[in-house]
Amino acid sequence: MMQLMLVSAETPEEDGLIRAAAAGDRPAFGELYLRYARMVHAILLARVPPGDAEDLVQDVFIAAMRQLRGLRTAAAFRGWLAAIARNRAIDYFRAARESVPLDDALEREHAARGADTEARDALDLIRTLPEAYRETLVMRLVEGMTGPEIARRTGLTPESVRVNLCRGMKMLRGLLGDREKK
Amino acid sequence: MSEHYLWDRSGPPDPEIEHLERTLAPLRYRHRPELVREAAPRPRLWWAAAAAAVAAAVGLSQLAAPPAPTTAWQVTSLNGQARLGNQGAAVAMALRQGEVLRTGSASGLTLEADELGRIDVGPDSQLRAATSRRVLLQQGVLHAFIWAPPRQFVVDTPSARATDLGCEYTLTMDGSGNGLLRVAMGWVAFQFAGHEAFIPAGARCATRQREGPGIPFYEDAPEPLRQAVAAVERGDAAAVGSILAAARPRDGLTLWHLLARVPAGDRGPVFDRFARLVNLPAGVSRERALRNDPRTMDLCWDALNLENTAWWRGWERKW
Repeated sequence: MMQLMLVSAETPEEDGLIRAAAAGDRPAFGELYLRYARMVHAILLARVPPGDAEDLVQDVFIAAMRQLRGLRTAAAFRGWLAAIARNRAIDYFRAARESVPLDDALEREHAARGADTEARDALDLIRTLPEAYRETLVMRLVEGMTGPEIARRTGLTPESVRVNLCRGMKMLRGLLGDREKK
Repeated sequence: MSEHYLWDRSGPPDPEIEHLERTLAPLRYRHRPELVREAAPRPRLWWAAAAAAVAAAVGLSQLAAPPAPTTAWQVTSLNGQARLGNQGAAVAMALRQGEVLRTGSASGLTLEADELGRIDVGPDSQLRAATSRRVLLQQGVLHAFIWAPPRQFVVDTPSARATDLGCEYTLTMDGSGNGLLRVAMGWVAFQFAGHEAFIPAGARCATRQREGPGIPFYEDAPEPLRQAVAAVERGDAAAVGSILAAARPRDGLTLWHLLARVPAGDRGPVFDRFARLVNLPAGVSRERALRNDPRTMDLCWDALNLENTAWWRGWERKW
């Protein structure tokens, strides 16, 4: 109960930010950007190559800025922003398929950006997990968000986030163990 | 394992989690200055009065409410005239189950449901909510931006059901049950009596009374193809040849739907053109495609690179 109260207490303040941003208040939008960029990045990073995920964060917020008028509450904003991010990731792969083979694109992206091999391998393992675990673990392990912060940003209940983290981490440990054995 | 450390970094550190955090840190998001630059100290508390006023308005409206339960949809903006049931519509009013929303000419209204999405209703429209997750557009224009998980929100029309698959779209219906669906983002499944169409962003699909969804095509399709699709949907089977002649590789979407719609005896030319435009995998047999064999239709669909069949299976695709 206490956790739910904490979550809802966060909402009205963000309502104000969202209303202000929707009315064209750029500083308010900038504040929303600061608060939600890591969540958006994590959702993208759970799906697309790291360098492109960073670029796409900006695309997502630009799309959000254009369509923000009319949104009323923080609860709506979280799900809406996450939906834009997931759709943007789908669009990314659709566009990639129309231009170059996906594997080639990923390989080139990795090579060009010099992504840390160990980090890339760990991320690839996380990406094999079910979607709910994948996104939550990227927020925790890559973006450094805590469980309560993930709950506030995503709108998931703290209990759901805890379950996603624990089950996802258990599966990830299993995958890491299997990799060690090989 | 230390769940405390995993949860909020309290308690003794878990070595494996610490190692993963260090390993993955280079991938962490780095803020871009161009959007952040304009951020200023956040506004505080001025919104509280407005929130309280809305809550009070909702409370008062419930005292005089008719027995039908409210849906999650609330009016968030109104331009011109609109009616909710027997009352004039106003901002903060909730749409009740079974209640009809009517907008006047040159009027528009926006509905929003926190957990579902936003609907802009255009002029001369008539909309009824069966539940929060199912509304009926009898006539008019509806623009939906849905952030609920896929398949949780549907719009019924007199001739088809539009099922959201995570997307933004515009649905226009005339008073006789004919309409048009245009998808701006994501996907929509358009269904009626065994007929289905899957419409990606950038494509459109008509629906007709008693016939259901037509054949989708991309907005940038050549004009001869667009006209031929309309002719086929009106029953002119001879126009199939014009579709095939005008189709580009990208119009494999249209040909795939056509393959599933034309009579068995007419499928040969459709498949042959499809096979020339789309790079089909080795496992696709012409004979099986002409029978609309489900496995072969899956392979043909996958060759379009529009999400694979595993993704579509999640939406209970039927073919």
